[in-house]
Amino acid sequence: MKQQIPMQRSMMAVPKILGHIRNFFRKKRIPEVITPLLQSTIPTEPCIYPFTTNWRTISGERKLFLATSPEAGLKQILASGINDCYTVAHAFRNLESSGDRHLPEFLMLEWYRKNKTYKDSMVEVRELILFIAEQEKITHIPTNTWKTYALPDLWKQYVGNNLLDVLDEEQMKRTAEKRGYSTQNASWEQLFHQIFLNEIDTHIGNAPCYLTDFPKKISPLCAGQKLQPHIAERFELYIDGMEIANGNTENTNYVEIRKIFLDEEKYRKKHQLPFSSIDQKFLDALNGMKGTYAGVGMGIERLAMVFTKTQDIQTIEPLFEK
Amino acid sequence: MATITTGDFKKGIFITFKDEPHQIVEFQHVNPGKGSAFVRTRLKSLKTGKVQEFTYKSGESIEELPVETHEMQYLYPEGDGYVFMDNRTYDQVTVPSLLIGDFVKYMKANDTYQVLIHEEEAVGIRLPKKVRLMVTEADEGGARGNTVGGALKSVTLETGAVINVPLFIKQGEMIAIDPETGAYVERA
Repeated sequence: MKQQIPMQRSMMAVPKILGHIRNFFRKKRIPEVITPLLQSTIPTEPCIYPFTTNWRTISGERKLFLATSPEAGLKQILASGINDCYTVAHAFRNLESSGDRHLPEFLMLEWYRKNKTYKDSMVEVRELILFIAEQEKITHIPTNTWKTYALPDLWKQYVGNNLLDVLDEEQMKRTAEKRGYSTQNASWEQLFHQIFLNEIDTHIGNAPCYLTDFPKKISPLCAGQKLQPHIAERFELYIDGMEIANGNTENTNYVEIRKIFLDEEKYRKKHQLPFSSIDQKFLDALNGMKGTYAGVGMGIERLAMVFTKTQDIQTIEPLFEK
Repeated sequence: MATITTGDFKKGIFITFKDEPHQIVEFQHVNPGKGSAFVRTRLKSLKTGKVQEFTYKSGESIEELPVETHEMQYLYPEGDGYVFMDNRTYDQVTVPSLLIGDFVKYMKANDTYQVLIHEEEAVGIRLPKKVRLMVTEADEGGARGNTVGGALKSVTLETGAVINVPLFIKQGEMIAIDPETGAYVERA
C-alpha cells in the first residue's frame, strides 16, 4: 500500500521540500551537484566559524573542517565551466548557540546562475517557494507582490539618520551611544546588527518581504552596486519575521577577497578563534568564474517552519544536536 | 552589584536595564545570517511590570542585581498587591500584583512561597516547579469517555483557577500543576 505522509508530520517536512526543490530545478534544467562536507580549508568569512576534526592515518594526522556552507565547493564547480547548478548540503556552524530558529547543523540549499544578478534571484526564490506551496496545496503563503525594503530607507525611518553617513566606526559608535547601547569593545558590525535587531527587525512583520541594499562592509563576498559602491548587490528574504534566504551578485575579485581572508585569519589567530589557512581552492575558483553570477543560500528547516507553521526548529529536526 | 555577561543569563535573574531594575523573563541566542552572535531577551520592569524586548551583543557586560529569597506565608490580597509574612520575624511585605502575574491563580492563603526581595522591596515570587491544589469542581459525567487519545476535561481548583486535566481526575483529589504553563502534571 502506498503510504501518504502529510507534510504536517514535522519530521517529513524537510524531505518533502527537498523533493519539490529537485523537481523545480529539474524543470529548469539546472543540474544538482555534490559538494564535500569534509574540507582541508574553508573560506575565512567574518563571523562564520567551522567545526574542526582530525583525520588520523598511518602516515600522520591532518586537520579537517566541516563545511560551513556549500559555497566553496559550488564555486569550484562553477569555475570548472558549469554555468548553473544547485546543491542541498548539511552546513555546520561553530560558536553559535542553538535556539528556536537555529541549530549548529542545518540543511542549506544553495544555487548559482550565470549572467544573472541578485534581482533575478529575488524573482527566482519567490518562484521556488510558491512552487513548493502549490505542490503541497499550502495556502497561507501570500501570492501577491512581496514587498522590498531598502535597508537605508528602514534605517532612516527607524534610526533617524543616513546609513551611508555612519559607515565609519566613529559615526556608528556615536549613533549607538546616543541610542543607549554599550559601545565598549564593540565593532561596527556588532553595533549595526544590534541597532538593526532592536529597532528595525521588530518592524519587519510576518508577510514575506525582501531586505536589500546591505552595506558592502558586512557583505564581503557580494558585488558592490555600480552607482553606490558602498552598498552590496544583496538581498535577504524574510518570512514570519525570520531570515529564510540570502542572495547576492557574486564578488569574484581575487585580490579583494584574499585580503579579507588574510585580515580575518590575523584576527582569529589573535583571539584564538577557529580558522583554516587561506582557502586557496576558493580563491582560485574566483579566478575561474568568468562573467556575472548570482547565488542564493536558503535554510531548509526554516522554510519547513514557515510551511508547517512551526515555532521551534527542533520540531523540524528532532534528531539534530541542539 | 555584580557584573555578569550574556553567557551568565538565566531565566528569572534580575539585572539593570536603562538604569531600572528588570527581570529576565526569557532569552534566546540569535545569529543574524552573516553577523556575530546576539542574545534576545524579554525583560520585565520591576517598576511597571511592563515586558519589553531587548537584544544584547553576545558577551556584553550587564549589572546583575542582588535579590534575596525569603520563605513567606501568603496572607491576603490588599489593594494592588498581595501580603506575605515572614514566619520567623513576622515582617510583612506586599508583592505588587503586576509582578506576580498569572501565578496568583494558584496562590492559596496560609501556604508558604519564596518571595524575592530587592533593596527591602518585594519584587516577585520564585515560581515552584509544581503547586499542589485540590479539585473542587469536576464534571463526573465525562469520566468514562474515550480515554485513548488523552482526552481532557476542565475542572475548577480550590483557588478558583480552571485548568484542563485527564478525564480520570475526580472532585476532591489533589493534583500537581506547573504554574508556569498552567498545565496538569500528575495526581499529588
